[in-house]
Amino acid sequence: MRSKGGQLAPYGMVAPYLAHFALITAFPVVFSLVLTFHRWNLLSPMQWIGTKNFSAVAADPLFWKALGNTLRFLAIHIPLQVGVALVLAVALNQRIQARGFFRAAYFLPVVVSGVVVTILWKQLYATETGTLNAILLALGLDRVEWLTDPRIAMPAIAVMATWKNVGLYVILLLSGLQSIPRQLYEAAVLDGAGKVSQFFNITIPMLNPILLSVIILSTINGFSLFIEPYVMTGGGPLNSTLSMNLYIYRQGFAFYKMGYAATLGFILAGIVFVVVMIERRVIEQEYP
Amino acid sequence: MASVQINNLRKEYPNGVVALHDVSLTVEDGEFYVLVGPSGCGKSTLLRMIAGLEEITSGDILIDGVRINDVPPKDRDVAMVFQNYALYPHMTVFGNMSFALKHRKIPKDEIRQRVEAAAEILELGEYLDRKPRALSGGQRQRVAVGRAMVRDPNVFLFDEPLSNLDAKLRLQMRVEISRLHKKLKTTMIYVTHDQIEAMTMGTRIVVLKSGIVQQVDTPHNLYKNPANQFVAGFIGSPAMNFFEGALDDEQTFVSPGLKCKLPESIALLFGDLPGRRGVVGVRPEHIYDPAEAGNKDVASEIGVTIDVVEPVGADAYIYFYIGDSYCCMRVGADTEHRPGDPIQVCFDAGEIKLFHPDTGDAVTSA
Repeated sequence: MRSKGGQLAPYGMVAPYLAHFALITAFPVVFSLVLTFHRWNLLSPMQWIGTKNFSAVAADPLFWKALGNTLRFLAIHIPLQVGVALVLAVALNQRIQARGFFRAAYFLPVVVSGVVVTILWKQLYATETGTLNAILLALGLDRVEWLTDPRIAMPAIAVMATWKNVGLYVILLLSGLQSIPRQLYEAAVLDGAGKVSQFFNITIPMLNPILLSVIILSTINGFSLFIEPYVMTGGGPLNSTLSMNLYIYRQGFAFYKMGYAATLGFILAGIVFVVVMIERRVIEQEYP
Repeated sequence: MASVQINNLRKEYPNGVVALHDVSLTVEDGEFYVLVGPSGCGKSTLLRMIAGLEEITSGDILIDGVRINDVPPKDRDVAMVFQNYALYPHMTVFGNMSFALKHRKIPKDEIRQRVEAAAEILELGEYLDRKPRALSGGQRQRVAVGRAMVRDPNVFLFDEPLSNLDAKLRLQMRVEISRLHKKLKTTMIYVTHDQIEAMTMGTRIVVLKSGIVQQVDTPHNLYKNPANQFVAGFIGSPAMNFFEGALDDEQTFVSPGLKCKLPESIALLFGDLPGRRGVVGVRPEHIYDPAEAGNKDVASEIGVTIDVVEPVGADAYIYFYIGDSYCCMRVGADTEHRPGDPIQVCFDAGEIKLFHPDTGDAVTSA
């Protein structure tokens, strides 16, 4: 028979992880779920209001605005991100000079602080003093109000976010490209397939699992859009860059509507889940 | 169908490694030509150069008399079967077999007709809608062969196509590919490191070593009359036994642990060798127990102690040392010899081979 200490040892070993999981993951999720049914401003006691937070969301024009902005951001960001990452990965998979340098260079922005990158791009985008407009002027073109024109601000942020994150997806796709057996391309060459046919008939289908991961990660990261509009535009102009996460943050920490912010958070999580499931279904049908 | 001519073909990699040294070969129209040799001998490189997958450093490749060095792979009209099948995993068997035909803009009806005809020959008819992952190794290999077949190419290239299969399937596919060659009568060039495959399938065999052609001959001639010690040791399983030594004044071959009176026909050949030194080679089936040698003309008896007895079904192999040489002798499966037993052995005098001690070339009377 094992001693009492011996029986307790396994529990002792998993206890640190369980404590970490309970405090950092389980408790916030459960607590915020409880919050969705309450009104709470951090100072007064929580007040039960049933499903009023959910009905308020449905009637909140800024929620719909923020959701629309986020989806607009994703519509630009995901194709741009995946497209650019794929092109770069294919290029970096060729036998080019200084390949290691380029791989590191594209990955560098990923490890640089988001705030630093955003401040840098704010300077690039500045209407009067920005580098981009200086180039346009030098080419004889007009200035563009990158961050102050409501039609352009969100696409400008999407381009910046792509630049910031593309290195990570390049590495993922590069690893996928390198795992495609060379013989498949050789067989295709003998079968008469040109470069374009090889790309669509071998590269893309063989990259499918990685592409799915890249698209899902891009989607989840895209829905988390916060630092860029917070630092660059504050959600403006005319709320055109107000993202879901920025709106949630404002409700919680500017207006102290903790219950409402938690409700928005749960709704956002639900939307992310649905969108990812749709993406997965579509891609798997296309390239099973 | 087509003949393939290779003239002074050389392959040198940028790092200076030479994979092929001025190889010249002629593959006749409709021939089953086997390239065999140990790993790294350049046989796959040669095949890939014929396919157009590897750059040619110098020399020429001609198909039906036309130089194809600068012809793109797709226009060479060669089809290749790869070692790991190289099937497109996301396509069905039909998709795999029809891929090349689609790129050649062949009408859909004809594509279906050709794929179904090939599938019938290869017994793949019921698997056309399956993906490669749902097939066994043998079926995948047949799909790879089918993919090549539907193109009706001038030349089939096989790059160790059976090496991923288990022993039973390998035997089955060996027979199937030979049967296919008889049926299609197309020129086939087949790369393998397995000398049994080479011997059983090839109409002619090229033995390569370190990028140099050692011998080109029929399987029978390679076995009976090897051009050098390498070919003699590579072709035949278990390998030929070798003894390095010299002939004394009484026509006795003396090697560490071995004194053997050689027949006059062999002893005379030592006259041309430096210091009457030479390497004597004897195949395992040409070493006998003197009691079982019957009427055969045998060289002198040698006393040995059995190290290992290895039954292999129809036969058994007995291993023992003669001096420093570890030797193998083939006997009947019903042998009663056991490890540790002292026995007498003798060589079949008519089957003894002699090789030059320095160059390894065969020394013959002709």
